[in-house]
Amino acid sequence: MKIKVIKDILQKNEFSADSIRELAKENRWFLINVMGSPGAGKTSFIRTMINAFKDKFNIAVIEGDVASTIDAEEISKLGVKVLQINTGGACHLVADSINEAILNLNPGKNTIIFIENIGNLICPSSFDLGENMRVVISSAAEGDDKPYKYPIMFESSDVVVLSKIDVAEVIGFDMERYIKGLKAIKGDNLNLFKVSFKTSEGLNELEDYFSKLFSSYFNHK
Amino acid sequence: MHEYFVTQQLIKIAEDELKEIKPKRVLSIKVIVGELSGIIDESLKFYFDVLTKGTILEGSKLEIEQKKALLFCNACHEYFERTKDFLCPKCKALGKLTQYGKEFYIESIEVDDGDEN
Repeated sequence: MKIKVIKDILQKNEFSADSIRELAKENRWFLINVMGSPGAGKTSFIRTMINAFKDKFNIAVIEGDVASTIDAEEISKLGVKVLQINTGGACHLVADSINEAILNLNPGKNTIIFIENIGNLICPSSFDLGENMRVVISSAAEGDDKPYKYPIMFESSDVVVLSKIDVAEVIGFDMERYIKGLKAIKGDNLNLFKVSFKTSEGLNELEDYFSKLFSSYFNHK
Repeated sequence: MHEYFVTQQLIKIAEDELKEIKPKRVLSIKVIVGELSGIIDESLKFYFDVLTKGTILEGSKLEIEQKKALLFCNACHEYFERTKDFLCPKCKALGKLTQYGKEFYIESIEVDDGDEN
């Protein structure tokens, strides 16, 4: 006997993500899922955001890492609440672990919560964490072919931050090819910021975008 | 590498489906996997064999049907299989991603329910 099923295998994660969404709505949290390769600049992005906005908004961070606490220690020096999740080998965070982390973090109402996902361009894109927004950090150092090789990661993200543009020319990064790939994936919804966390190039535009976003979210009754 | 987690989910869904039927034996599970889903067949099979031990699914076969990713050409208005740089093989216009290639679901489960006919 053959039983027709047709069920999405990731549905359990979706249920858990939905419960995070409800909690976030109740508590007016703004969750940002930060994804990207190891070394692309995820922690630098979060650090930049904390420095730019910690005086204006409540900020907390959930640091996902396979095993280490290096990033969490660095972030905690900036004076915001940080909670480390070690996946112990898994290559992505799941909604269940975020649910648990939020309970332990106790971020309080009206808080921006950055979630630093595990570094790779495949697995994290498949798992809904109940976030309000997804940001992918993609460094010029990784090459201009990334949108073509990992289209789902870019498609699932609301904002693309191209980091390390200070080295783009040296390594022969083809900006036109990169943007063409992104446009094939995102169409007119492309929100691309070209930055260098080292030289601060492009950071004003990035901060301006998030400043408007946070202000409108937290002022909205 | 996230096959461990998704295989756990797959097994849970299958077990839930089989709760009421209570088959004698589960013969096979058919899963549809799109090429952009990030799922590696071999890993899925490996974890399936490991994680089904001691469950009703032990000894069943995991059948995987691969689905190719299709892009849509805005100029020709036709779907085409993914090419390098996403260019339409016919007119060389830039194609866009579609839902084809992202599939990941259990299509069916075949069981031996003891009925010979």
